[in-house]
Amino acid sequence: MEKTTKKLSKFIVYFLVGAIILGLFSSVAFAKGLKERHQEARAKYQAARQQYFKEVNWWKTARQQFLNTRRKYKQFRNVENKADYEKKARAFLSRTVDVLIRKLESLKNWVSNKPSLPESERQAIVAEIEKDINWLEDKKSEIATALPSQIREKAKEIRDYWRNHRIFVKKIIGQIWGARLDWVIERFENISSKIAAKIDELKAADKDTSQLEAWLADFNQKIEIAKNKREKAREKYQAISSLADANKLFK
Amino acid sequence: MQVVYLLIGLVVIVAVVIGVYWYSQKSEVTELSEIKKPALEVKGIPEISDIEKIAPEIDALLKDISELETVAEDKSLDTLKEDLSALTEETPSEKELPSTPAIDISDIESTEKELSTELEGILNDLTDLEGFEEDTSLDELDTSLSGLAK
Repeated sequence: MEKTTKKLSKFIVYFLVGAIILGLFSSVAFAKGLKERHQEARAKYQAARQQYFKEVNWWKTARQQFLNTRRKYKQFRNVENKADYEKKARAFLSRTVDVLIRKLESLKNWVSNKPSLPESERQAIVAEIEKDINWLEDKKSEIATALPSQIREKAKEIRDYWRNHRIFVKKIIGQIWGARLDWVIERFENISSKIAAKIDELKAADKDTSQLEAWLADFNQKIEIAKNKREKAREKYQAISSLADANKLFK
Repeated sequence: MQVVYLLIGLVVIVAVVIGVYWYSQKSEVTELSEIKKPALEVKGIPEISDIEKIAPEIDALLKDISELETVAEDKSLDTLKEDLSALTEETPSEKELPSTPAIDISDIESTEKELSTELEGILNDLTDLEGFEEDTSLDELDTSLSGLAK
Protein backbone atom coordinates (compact mmCIF):
# COMPACT_ATOMS: atom_id res chain seq x y z
CA MET A 1 0.00 0.00 0.00
CA GLU A 2 2.80 2.32 1.03
CA LYS A 3 4.68 1.40 -2.12
CA THR A 4 1.65 2.21 -4.30
CA THR A 5 1.22 5.61 -2.62
CA LYS A 6 4.90 6.38 -3.17
CA LYS A 7 4.61 5.37 -6.82
CA LEU A 8 1.49 7.48 -7.25
CA SER A 9 3.05 10.55 -5.69
CA LYS A 10 6.16 10.06 -7.84
CA PHE A 11 3.96 9.86 -10.94
CA ILE A 12 2.09 13.04 -9.94
CA VAL A 13 5.38 14.91 -9.43
CA TYR A 14 6.77 13.77 -12.81
CA PHE A 15 3.47 14.58 -14.48
CA LEU A 16 3.41 18.10 -13.06
CA VAL A 17 7.06 18.78 -13.96
CA GLY A 18 6.43 17.43 -17.47
CA ALA A 19 3.33 19.58 -17.87
CA ILE A 20 5.22 22.71 -16.79
CA ILE A 21 8.11 22.01 -19.19
CA LEU A 22 5.69 21.25 -22.04
CA GLY A 23 3.81 24.46 -21.33
CA LEU A 24 6.99 26.49 -21.40
CA PHE A 25 8.18 24.96 -24.66
CA SER A 26 4.85 25.32 -26.42
CA SER A 27 4.60 28.99 -25.45
CA VAL A 28 8.13 29.59 -26.73
CA ALA A 29 7.29 27.84 -30.00
CA PHE A 30 4.13 29.89 -30.42
CA ALA A 31 6.01 33.10 -29.70
CA LYS A 32 8.35 32.39 -32.58
CA GLY A 33 7.79 35.33 -34.82
CA LEU A 34 7.84 35.89 -38.53
CA LYS A 35 11.33 37.29 -38.35
CA GLU A 36 12.62 34.00 -36.96
CA ARG A 37 10.85 32.10 -39.70
CA HIS A 38 12.58 34.31 -42.29
CA GLN A 39 15.90 33.66 -40.61
CA GLU A 40 15.24 29.91 -40.54
CA ALA A 41 14.38 29.98 -44.25
CA ARG A 42 17.60 31.83 -45.03
CA ALA A 43 19.61 29.39 -42.91
CA LYS A 44 18.04 26.46 -44.79
CA TYR A 45 18.92 28.05 -48.12
CA GLN A 46 22.50 28.72 -47.03
CA ALA A 47 22.86 25.11 -45.87
CA ALA A 48 21.60 23.93 -49.29
CA ARG A 49 24.04 26.30 -51.00
CA GLN A 50 26.93 24.98 -48.90
CA GLN A 51 25.95 21.45 -49.84
CA TYR A 52 26.05 22.47 -53.49
CA PHE A 53 29.58 23.90 -53.14
CA LYS A 54 30.73 20.68 -51.43
CA GLU A 55 29.27 18.76 -54.35
CA VAL A 56 31.15 21.08 -56.76
CA ASN A 57 34.43 20.13 -55.04
CA TRP A 58 33.66 16.40 -55.30
CA TRP A 59 32.71 16.91 -58.93
CA LYS A 60 36.04 18.66 -59.60
CA THR A 61 37.94 15.78 -57.99
CA ALA A 62 35.96 13.23 -60.04
CA ARG A 63 36.63 15.25 -63.20
CA GLN A 64 40.36 15.38 -62.51
CA GLN A 65 40.47 11.62 -61.91
CA PHE A 66 38.54 11.05 -65.13
CA LEU A 67 40.92 13.28 -67.12
CA ASN A 68 43.96 11.50 -65.63
CA THR A 69 42.71 8.00 -66.43
CA ARG A 70 41.72 9.09 -69.94
CA ARG A 71 45.23 10.46 -70.56
CA LYS A 72 46.71 7.24 -69.21
CA TYR A 73 44.46 5.10 -71.39
CA LYS A 74 45.33 7.16 -74.46
CA GLN A 75 49.02 6.63 -73.72
CA PHE A 76 48.79 2.94 -72.79
CA ARG A 77 45.80 1.24 -74.34
CA ASN A 78 45.40 -1.95 -72.37
CA VAL A 79 42.50 -3.79 -70.68
CA GLU A 80 43.35 -2.57 -67.19
CA ASN A 81 43.54 1.09 -68.21
CA LYS A 82 40.38 0.75 -70.27
CA ALA A 83 38.45 -0.65 -67.30
CA ASP A 84 39.77 2.10 -65.07
CA TYR A 85 38.87 4.74 -67.67
CA GLU A 86 35.31 3.39 -67.95
CA LYS A 87 34.96 3.27 -64.19
CA LYS A 88 36.14 6.85 -63.76
CA ALA A 89 34.00 8.04 -66.68
CA ARG A 90 30.90 6.57 -65.05
CA ALA A 91 31.82 8.09 -61.69
CA PHE A 92 32.41 11.50 -63.28
CA LEU A 93 29.11 11.40 -65.14
CA SER A 94 27.29 10.37 -62.00
CA ARG A 95 28.92 13.22 -60.05
CA THR A 96 27.94 15.63 -62.83
CA VAL A 97 24.31 14.66 -62.42
CA ASP A 98 24.62 14.98 -58.62
CA VAL A 99 26.07 18.46 -58.82
CA LEU A 100 23.34 19.58 -61.20
CA ILE A 101 20.68 18.18 -58.87
CA ARG A 102 22.25 20.00 -55.89
CA LYS A 103 22.36 23.22 -57.86
CA LEU A 104 18.68 22.95 -58.71
CA GLU A 105 17.84 21.95 -55.15
CA SER A 106 19.49 25.05 -53.74
CA LEU A 107 17.46 27.17 -56.19
CA LYS A 108 14.28 25.26 -55.31
CA ASN A 109 15.03 25.72 -51.62
CA TRP A 110 15.44 29.46 -52.12
CA VAL A 111 12.14 29.76 -53.98
CA SER A 112 10.06 27.49 -51.73
CA ASN A 113 11.20 29.26 -48.55
CA LYS A 114 10.72 32.74 -49.92
CA PRO A 115 7.67 34.27 -48.25
CA SER A 116 7.84 37.36 -50.44
CA LEU A 117 6.68 35.57 -53.58
CA PRO A 118 3.02 35.08 -54.49
CA GLU A 119 1.99 31.51 -53.57
CA SER A 120 0.78 30.49 -57.06
CA GLU A 121 3.95 31.72 -58.76
CA ARG A 122 6.10 30.06 -56.14
CA GLN A 123 4.39 26.72 -56.67
CA ALA A 124 4.69 27.03 -60.44
CA ILE A 125 8.42 27.77 -60.26
CA VAL A 126 9.05 24.95 -57.76
CA ALA A 127 7.13 22.52 -60.01
CA GLU A 128 9.28 23.50 -62.99
CA ILE A 129 12.50 23.00 -61.03
CA GLU A 130 11.25 19.65 -59.70
CA LYS A 131 10.55 18.49 -63.25
CA ASP A 132 14.22 18.98 -64.09
CA ILE A 133 15.37 17.35 -60.84
CA ASN A 134 13.24 14.29 -61.62
CA TRP A 135 14.67 14.05 -65.13
CA LEU A 136 18.19 14.14 -63.68
CA GLU A 137 17.33 11.51 -61.05
CA ASP A 138 16.19 9.20 -63.86
CA LYS A 139 19.43 9.79 -65.71
CA LYS A 140 21.40 8.99 -62.58
CA SER A 141 19.86 5.54 -62.31
CA GLU A 142 20.36 4.98 -66.04
CA ILE A 143 24.06 5.86 -65.70
CA ALA A 144 24.46 3.42 -62.80
CA THR A 145 23.21 0.52 -64.94
CA ALA A 146 24.53 1.65 -68.34
CA LEU A 147 26.92 -0.57 -70.25
CA PRO A 148 30.35 0.97 -70.99
CA SER A 149 29.27 1.49 -74.59
CA GLN A 150 26.20 3.45 -73.42
CA ILE A 151 28.16 5.85 -71.20
CA ARG A 152 29.04 8.00 -74.22
CA GLU A 153 25.37 8.37 -75.12
CA LYS A 154 24.50 9.30 -71.57
CA ALA A 155 27.30 11.88 -71.57
CA LYS A 156 25.81 13.45 -74.71
CA GLU A 157 22.38 13.61 -73.09
CA ILE A 158 23.76 15.28 -69.98
CA ARG A 159 25.80 17.74 -72.06
CA ASP A 160 22.72 18.72 -74.06
CA TYR A 161 20.80 19.08 -70.86
CA TRP A 162 23.53 21.32 -69.45
CA ARG A 163 23.41 23.59 -72.48
CA ASN A 164 19.68 24.01 -72.02
CA HIS A 165 19.99 24.07 -68.25
CA ARG A 166 21.81 27.39 -68.30
CA ILE A 167 19.01 28.92 -70.33
CA PHE A 168 16.50 27.25 -68.05
CA VAL A 169 18.14 28.74 -64.92
CA LYS A 170 18.18 32.19 -66.46
CA LYS A 171 14.51 31.86 -67.42
CA ILE A 172 13.66 30.70 -63.92
CA ILE A 173 15.52 33.65 -62.39
CA GLY A 174 13.61 35.98 -64.70
CA GLN A 175 10.38 34.33 -63.59
CA ILE A 176 11.39 34.73 -59.92
CA TRP A 177 12.12 38.40 -60.51
CA GLY A 178 8.73 38.91 -62.10
CA ALA A 179 7.01 37.27 -59.12
CA ARG A 180 9.18 39.16 -56.66
CA LEU A 181 8.31 42.45 -58.35
CA ASP A 182 4.60 41.58 -58.31
CA TRP A 183 4.88 41.10 -54.57
CA VAL A 184 6.85 44.26 -53.89
CA ILE A 185 4.68 46.43 -56.15
CA GLU A 186 1.60 45.24 -54.27
CA ARG A 187 3.27 46.10 -50.96
CA PHE A 188 4.33 49.52 -52.22
CA GLU A 189 0.81 50.26 -53.45
CA ASN A 190 -0.45 49.33 -50.01
CA ILE A 191 2.05 51.71 -48.42
CA SER A 192 1.00 54.43 -50.87
CA SER A 193 -2.67 54.05 -49.81
CA LYS A 194 -1.71 54.27 -46.15
CA ILE A 195 0.25 57.49 -46.74
CA ALA A 196 -2.63 58.96 -48.78
CA ALA A 197 -5.02 58.25 -45.91
CA LYS A 198 -2.64 59.89 -43.46
CA ILE A 199 -2.37 62.97 -45.68
CA ASP A 200 -6.18 63.31 -45.61
CA GLU A 201 -6.11 63.02 -41.83
CA LEU A 202 -3.40 65.68 -41.54
CA LYS A 203 -5.25 67.98 -43.92
CA ALA A 204 -8.39 67.68 -41.80
CA ALA A 205 -6.32 68.83 -38.84
CA ASP A 206 -5.10 71.88 -40.82
CA LYS A 207 -1.54 70.64 -41.12
CA ASP A 208 0.83 71.46 -43.95
CA THR A 209 1.08 68.30 -46.08
CA SER A 210 2.75 69.74 -49.17
CA GLN A 211 6.07 67.94 -48.63
CA LEU A 212 4.40 64.61 -47.91
CA GLU A 213 2.17 65.01 -50.97
CA ALA A 214 5.17 65.71 -53.19
CA TRP A 215 6.90 62.62 -51.82
CA LEU A 216 3.82 60.49 -52.42
CA ALA A 217 3.44 61.71 -56.00
CA ASP A 218 7.08 60.79 -56.67
CA PHE A 219 6.62 57.41 -54.97
CA ASN A 220 3.51 56.63 -57.04
CA GLN A 221 5.34 57.60 -60.21
CA LYS A 222 8.14 55.19 -59.34
CA ILE A 223 5.63 52.41 -58.73
CA GLU A 224 4.23 53.00 -62.22
CA ILE A 225 7.75 52.87 -63.71
CA ALA A 226 8.39 49.58 -61.84
CA LYS A 227 5.14 48.15 -63.23
CA ASN A 228 6.09 49.05 -66.82
CA LYS A 229 9.59 47.63 -66.42
CA ARG A 230 8.22 44.43 -64.91
CA GLU A 231 5.96 43.88 -67.95
CA LYS A 232 8.81 44.52 -70.39
CA ALA A 233 11.15 42.20 -68.45
CA ARG A 234 8.48 39.49 -68.43
CA GLU A 235 8.11 39.69 -72.21
CA LYS A 236 11.89 39.51 -72.67
CA TYR A 237 12.65 36.58 -70.41
CA GLN A 238 9.75 34.63 -71.89
CA ALA A 239 11.37 35.13 -75.27
CA ILE A 240 14.75 33.66 -74.20
CA SER A 241 15.63 30.81 -76.53
CA SER A 242 19.42 30.73 -76.41
CA LEU A 243 22.22 31.37 -73.96
CA ALA A 244 23.29 34.35 -76.04
CA ASP A 245 19.78 35.87 -75.65
CA ALA A 246 19.87 35.27 -71.91
CA ASN A 247 23.35 36.75 -71.50
CA LYS A 248 22.32 39.80 -73.50
CA LEU A 249 19.27 40.28 -71.29
CA PHE A 250 21.00 39.83 -67.97
CA LYS A 251 24.02 41.99 -68.72
CA MET B 1 29.72 9.06 26.46
CA GLN B 2 31.00 11.78 28.79
CA VAL B 3 30.31 14.34 26.13
CA VAL B 4 26.67 13.22 25.96
CA TYR B 5 26.24 13.64 29.74
CA LEU B 6 27.91 17.03 29.52
CA LEU B 7 25.50 18.07 26.78
CA ILE B 8 22.44 16.82 28.70
CA GLY B 9 23.67 18.72 31.76
CA LEU B 10 24.05 21.89 29.73
CA VAL B 11 20.57 21.54 28.27
CA VAL B 12 19.09 21.08 31.80
CA ILE B 13 20.92 24.19 33.11
CA VAL B 14 19.74 26.28 30.15
CA ALA B 15 16.15 25.05 30.70
CA VAL B 16 16.31 25.93 34.42
CA VAL B 17 17.66 29.43 33.66
CA ILE B 18 14.92 30.05 31.08
CA GLY B 19 12.25 28.76 33.55
CA VAL B 20 13.45 31.07 36.35
CA TYR B 21 13.53 34.09 34.03
CA TRP B 22 10.01 33.33 32.70
CA TYR B 23 8.60 32.94 36.25
CA SER B 24 10.09 36.23 37.44
CA GLN B 25 8.64 38.07 34.40
CA LYS B 26 5.17 36.56 35.01
CA SER B 27 5.06 37.63 38.66
CA GLU B 28 6.06 41.20 37.69
CA VAL B 29 3.14 41.41 35.25
CA THR B 30 0.72 40.13 37.90
CA GLU B 31 1.84 42.76 40.38
CA LEU B 32 1.37 45.59 37.87
CA SER B 33 -2.17 44.47 36.98
CA GLU B 34 -3.03 44.45 40.65
CA ILE B 35 -1.85 48.07 40.96
CA LYS B 36 -3.88 49.21 37.89
CA LYS B 37 -7.24 48.13 39.37
CA PRO B 38 -9.56 51.22 39.51
CA ALA B 39 -10.18 52.67 42.96
CA LEU B 40 -14.02 52.54 42.56
CA GLU B 41 -13.95 48.79 41.99
CA VAL B 42 -12.43 48.29 45.43
CA LYS B 43 -14.93 46.70 47.71
CA GLY B 44 -16.51 49.03 50.30
CA ILE B 45 -17.79 52.68 50.33
CA PRO B 46 -15.75 55.19 48.29
CA GLU B 47 -13.82 57.74 50.24
CA ILE B 48 -14.58 61.51 49.90
CA SER B 49 -11.15 62.22 48.46
CA ASP B 50 -11.94 59.82 45.57
CA ILE B 51 -15.23 61.64 44.76
CA GLU B 52 -13.40 64.98 44.75
CA LYS B 53 -10.98 63.56 42.18
CA ILE B 54 -13.84 62.52 39.80
CA ALA B 55 -15.80 65.86 39.95
CA PRO B 56 -13.75 67.81 37.34
CA GLU B 57 -14.00 64.87 34.94
CA ILE B 58 -17.81 64.97 35.17
CA ASP B 59 -17.74 68.71 34.38
CA ALA B 60 -15.62 68.07 31.28
CA LEU B 61 -18.03 65.33 30.16
CA LEU B 62 -21.04 67.68 30.45
CA LYS B 63 -19.22 70.32 28.34
CA ASP B 64 -18.47 67.76 25.64
CA ILE B 65 -22.15 66.72 25.52
CA SER B 66 -23.33 70.30 25.01
CA GLU B 67 -20.71 70.88 22.25
CA LEU B 68 -21.79 67.72 20.46
CA GLU B 69 -25.42 68.88 20.58
CA THR B 70 -24.41 72.15 18.84
CA VAL B 71 -22.62 70.23 16.10
CA ALA B 72 -25.65 67.99 15.64
CA GLU B 73 -27.96 70.97 15.25
CA ASP B 74 -25.67 72.77 12.76
CA LYS B 75 -27.47 72.97 9.36
CA SER B 76 -24.88 75.04 7.49
CA LEU B 77 -23.62 71.97 5.52
CA ASP B 78 -27.02 70.46 4.78
CA THR B 79 -26.82 71.44 1.10
CA LEU B 80 -23.23 70.20 0.69
CA LYS B 81 -24.25 66.95 -1.03
CA GLU B 82 -26.40 68.76 -3.57
CA ASP B 83 -23.76 71.42 -4.15
CA LEU B 84 -21.17 68.74 -4.84
CA SER B 85 -23.48 66.90 -7.23
CA ALA B 86 -24.16 70.08 -9.14
CA LEU B 87 -20.46 70.82 -9.34
CA THR B 88 -19.69 67.32 -10.69
CA GLU B 89 -22.32 67.72 -13.39
CA GLU B 90 -21.02 71.11 -14.44
CA THR B 91 -17.30 70.11 -14.64
CA PRO B 92 -16.57 68.78 -18.15
CA SER B 93 -14.79 65.46 -18.28
CA GLU B 94 -11.33 65.26 -19.76
CA LYS B 95 -12.79 63.89 -22.95
CA GLU B 96 -15.07 66.89 -23.31
CA LEU B 97 -12.32 69.44 -22.73
CA PRO B 98 -11.59 71.28 -25.95
CA SER B 99 -7.97 70.68 -27.00
CA THR B 100 -5.77 70.80 -30.08
CA PRO B 101 -6.23 67.49 -31.95
CA ALA B 102 -3.08 65.35 -31.56
CA ILE B 103 -1.85 63.85 -34.82
CA ASP B 104 -0.58 60.32 -34.51
CA ILE B 105 2.32 59.85 -36.90
CA SER B 106 3.34 56.44 -35.57
CA ASP B 107 1.75 54.73 -38.58
CA ILE B 108 3.85 56.85 -40.94
CA GLU B 109 6.92 55.76 -39.01
CA SER B 110 5.87 52.11 -39.18
CA THR B 111 5.22 52.51 -42.93
CA GLU B 112 8.73 53.90 -43.32
CA LYS B 113 10.12 50.83 -41.53
CA GLU B 114 7.98 48.56 -43.71
CA LEU B 115 9.35 50.26 -46.81
CA SER B 116 12.95 49.92 -45.71
CA THR B 117 12.41 46.24 -44.80
CA GLU B 118 10.99 45.61 -48.28
CA LEU B 119 13.93 47.34 -49.92
CA GLU B 120 16.42 45.46 -47.78
CA GLY B 121 14.67 42.19 -48.66
CA ILE B 122 14.78 42.91 -52.36
CA LEU B 123 18.49 43.80 -52.17
CA ASN B 124 19.23 40.51 -50.37
CA ASP B 125 17.29 38.64 -53.03
CA LEU B 126 19.19 40.44 -55.74
CA THR B 127 22.47 39.28 -54.18
CA ASP B 128 21.22 35.68 -53.91
CA LEU B 129 19.93 35.59 -57.47
CA GLU B 130 23.15 37.10 -58.78
CA GLY B 131 24.91 34.26 -56.97
CA PHE B 132 22.92 31.77 -59.06
CA GLU B 133 23.33 33.86 -62.14
CA GLU B 134 27.09 34.30 -61.96
CA ASP B 135 27.92 30.81 -60.73
CA THR B 136 30.97 29.75 -62.74
CA SER B 137 31.74 26.59 -60.72
CA LEU B 138 30.58 24.31 -63.51
CA ASP B 139 31.99 26.22 -66.46
CA GLU B 140 34.27 23.32 -67.47
CA LEU B 141 31.35 20.92 -67.52
CA ASP B 142 30.64 21.36 -71.22
CA THR B 143 34.21 20.66 -72.38
CA SER B 144 34.59 17.72 -70.00
CA LEU B 145 31.37 16.11 -71.17
CA SER B 146 32.31 16.76 -74.77
CA GLY B 147 35.55 14.87 -74.10
CA LEU B 148 33.57 11.97 -72.69
CA ALA B 149 31.00 12.01 -75.48
CA LYS B 150 33.67 11.66 -78.23
